Amino acid sequence: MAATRLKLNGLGLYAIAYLGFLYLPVAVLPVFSFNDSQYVAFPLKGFTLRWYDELADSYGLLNALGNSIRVALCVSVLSTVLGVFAAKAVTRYRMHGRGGLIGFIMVPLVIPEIILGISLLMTFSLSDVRLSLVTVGIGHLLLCVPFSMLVLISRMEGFDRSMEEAARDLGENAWGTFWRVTFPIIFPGVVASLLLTFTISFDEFVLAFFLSGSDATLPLHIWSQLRFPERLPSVLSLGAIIVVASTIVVFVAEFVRRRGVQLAPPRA
Amino acid sequence: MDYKKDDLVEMLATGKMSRRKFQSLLGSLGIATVTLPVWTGPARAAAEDHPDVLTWEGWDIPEHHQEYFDKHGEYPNFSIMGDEEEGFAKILAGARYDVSHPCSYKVEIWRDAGILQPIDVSRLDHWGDIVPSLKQIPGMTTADGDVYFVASEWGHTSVLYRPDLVDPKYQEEETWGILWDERYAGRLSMADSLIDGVMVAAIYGGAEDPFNMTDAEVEVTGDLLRKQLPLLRYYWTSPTDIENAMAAGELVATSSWNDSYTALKGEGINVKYMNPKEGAMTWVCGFCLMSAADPEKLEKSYDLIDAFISPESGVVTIMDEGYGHANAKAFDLVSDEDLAERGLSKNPDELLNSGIFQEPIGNEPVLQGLFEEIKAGL
Amino acid sequence: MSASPSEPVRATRGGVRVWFMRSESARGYALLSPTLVVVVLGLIFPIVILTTLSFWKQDYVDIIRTFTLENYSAFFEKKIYYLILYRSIRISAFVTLVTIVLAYPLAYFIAFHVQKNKIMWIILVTIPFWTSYLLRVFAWKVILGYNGVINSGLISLGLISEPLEFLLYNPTAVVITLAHAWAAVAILPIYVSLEKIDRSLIEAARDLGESAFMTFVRVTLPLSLPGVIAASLLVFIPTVGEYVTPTLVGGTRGIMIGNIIQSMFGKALNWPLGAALSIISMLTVTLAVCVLLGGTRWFRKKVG
Repeated sequence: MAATRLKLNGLGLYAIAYLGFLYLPVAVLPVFSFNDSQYVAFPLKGFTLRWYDELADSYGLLNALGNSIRVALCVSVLSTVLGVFAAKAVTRYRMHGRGGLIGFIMVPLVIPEIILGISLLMTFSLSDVRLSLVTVGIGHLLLCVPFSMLVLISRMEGFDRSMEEAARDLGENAWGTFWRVTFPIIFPGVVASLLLTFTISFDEFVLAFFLSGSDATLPLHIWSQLRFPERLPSVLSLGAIIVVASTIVVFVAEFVRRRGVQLAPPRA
Repeated sequence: MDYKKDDLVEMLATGKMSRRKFQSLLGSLGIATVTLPVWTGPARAAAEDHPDVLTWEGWDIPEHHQEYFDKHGEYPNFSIMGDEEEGFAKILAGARYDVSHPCSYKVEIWRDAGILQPIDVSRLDHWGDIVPSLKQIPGMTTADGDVYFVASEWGHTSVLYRPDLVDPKYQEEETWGILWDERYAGRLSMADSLIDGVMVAAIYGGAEDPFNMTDAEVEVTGDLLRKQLPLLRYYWTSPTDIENAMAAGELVATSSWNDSYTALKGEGINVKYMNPKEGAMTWVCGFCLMSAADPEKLEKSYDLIDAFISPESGVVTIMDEGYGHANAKAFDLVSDEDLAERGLSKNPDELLNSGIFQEPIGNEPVLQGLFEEIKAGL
Repeated sequence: MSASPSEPVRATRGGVRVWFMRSESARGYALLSPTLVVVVLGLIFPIVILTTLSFWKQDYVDIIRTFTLENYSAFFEKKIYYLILYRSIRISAFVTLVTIVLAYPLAYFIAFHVQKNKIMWIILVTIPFWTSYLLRVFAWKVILGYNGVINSGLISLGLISEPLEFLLYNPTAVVITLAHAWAAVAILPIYVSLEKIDRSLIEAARDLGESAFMTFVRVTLPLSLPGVIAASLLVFIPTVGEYVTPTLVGGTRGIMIGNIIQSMFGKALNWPLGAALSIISMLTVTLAVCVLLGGTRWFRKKVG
């Protein structure tokens, strides 16, 4: 017993250390967002709120943030839906040429992003499509579908078919079977896929560079600001705000969930 | 589907939401997110009537084109490029702009690629105030007299260094050679570009005409770059790269533009900007009218270019960026002290003629190939 | 599922329907079709353009549209291209290894040791990645930099007197930055496949007297392999073509094939050569992936 306890502690410590590694760069941002110097270097100069002040005035930044959220939401939902279809198909049915098809869907991953960006841009301009957030979204969708599919395949592989068959035998139609049996089982995969694709799209730069019109996404905006030393600290303060805000959202969601657990009547 | 917000939270919280409700909610959420990009709100719709501009970071701020806003009540649409080559690639692949903002040495190749249209300078109110020498930049006018480029801002490429951290002899004898000084190995930087990087080596190597080098001169330049590679901390791609590092003392000397000097001095950092004995480089950037420009936006495109070369925009360029401006009247609006602090004077022609003027680079692809190989350690 | 002899008779009206319900392939394709259509529509033109381009030739600002293999032969003639490609593959493989090895224990911890709020942990893992990648890379520059967190810390502790310069602007910095950047991409698939494992299998192994370690090696690890493979692919494949990170933290010695390709489409203005280089690098990556998959299949046979 003591041994398992110890092992758990070791692993727990590692988990915390690793989270520390993940949060380390993110933790640096707030520090310099309060630093009273336009140069991001030690030693710190003094405390200031002026970068947050400048941030509030920056129309372009808020606009870009909104654009990115919109694109990322659409892309994550669409690519996860497409990923579910694809993963379900390749794990559920024995198909001819299965490997080839998976391979084909994976192609956007292998193409260097800059190539995908330029060739998609050529495609759009040949077909007279005006560059906009939609074209960025299409690029991101191509990039995200393989991610969704792979995550979901790894969840669905070895999926016990008898559960679905039982549901069918009990008179559920295809949709009912999917919704009541399959979906709850693959739910963690769906969440993982949504999070992953949202993150990828929200953060994607190269495709967005080539496929965007005058509506910049957040990474594009940040990139243009990063080249501009005096605007850098404001961008850092935005980074700090995003981290803090998303953490708060997560904790509020958790609070709501817990409250739900308390309120929910005991299950039979 | 009109759940009140509280109900929704309550339902989610208690888990009392039925599957069907959840399903339809999810469905509408899906539709909402899919249609969101199409519905971008009325505020943005107006921007469709305004020109699309491809420019450098920083030129999208309202102060640079106030005149346009005063006339039309709205701002144009900006896309940002990191350097001209990126912008060029995007344009060649089919991205459409009305106005672009390259530097003069690129105008020739852009015109050869068929992406520019001639500018009718009589439609620009401020054209008459442009510094005379900036109306005769090589490559901006064709043999037929068509003008393809309107100069806006100009400056230098030279050595930025920390006098407190390097040999005092460099203050007496200013030279590009500091970027090859082995005592500062790992504390030097160079621009990652042909025009501001490789050409520096060519000038330091004593090439007769750096922009049209002989094979022997190319060889000398290549050797210099190879010799320099191990001394460099990195090749810089944006002013941020060098300004932060110069402020920290991580770098002691680097090639740079005037704006970094102005900015660092403004923050109280001990820096100096050289006038190397081999010659500093002078560059001019400005505006071009694209051949893909929307004819309906042409009038506004002219207004925008006019705004960028207005004296008011010039003052912002001089004061904030530390660059020179094309409009001679801009210099009259700035005090002598402010000009002197930025290394400028009321006689811009004199400065413009003092350095080595950047021109189209002959045999650019070969030099770029050489540069790539050197950077790869070959 | 045995077919009764009366069925074909009944099927006259809905023959197609029955065939459809019977044929696994057809139903699979039908289910796969929406995804496939999207990907095909999105990719067919880019692939055609890319391939055609790679057989043409650049002349100043014009592209000469006559068939040539020059671009491909250039790859083998000039040392720089295959040398850099090799370097990229090596860096990416190393990044993948580091990322997976670091991420696996965390995924394992969340899957097996976190009882409540697993989703919360997963979100906690992804939050750092909601701030821009460029900002995170910049933050690494601040951490590893000359006057950065590590150097300032070590100096104030009196351990060093001069800042360490080897922390940044070299291939190691590229590996650290990428191993951080792709962490979420590695953790999620591994977690998802670990979470799926039937706990009774693990208990059974323990009941049969296997040690905790052997249970992990013989049961948990093989069962989580789909996730590990997915994670490796998702990290390895895109990082080969990476060009932003090497530019920012790689210094003068961290150039990867993505940088060369980018330069072909930008500064060097040789799109056909850029296209050929990207096709070659895509094929090489595919080959590397096949080797990886073959290797795991072998490993599976050996262990399972």
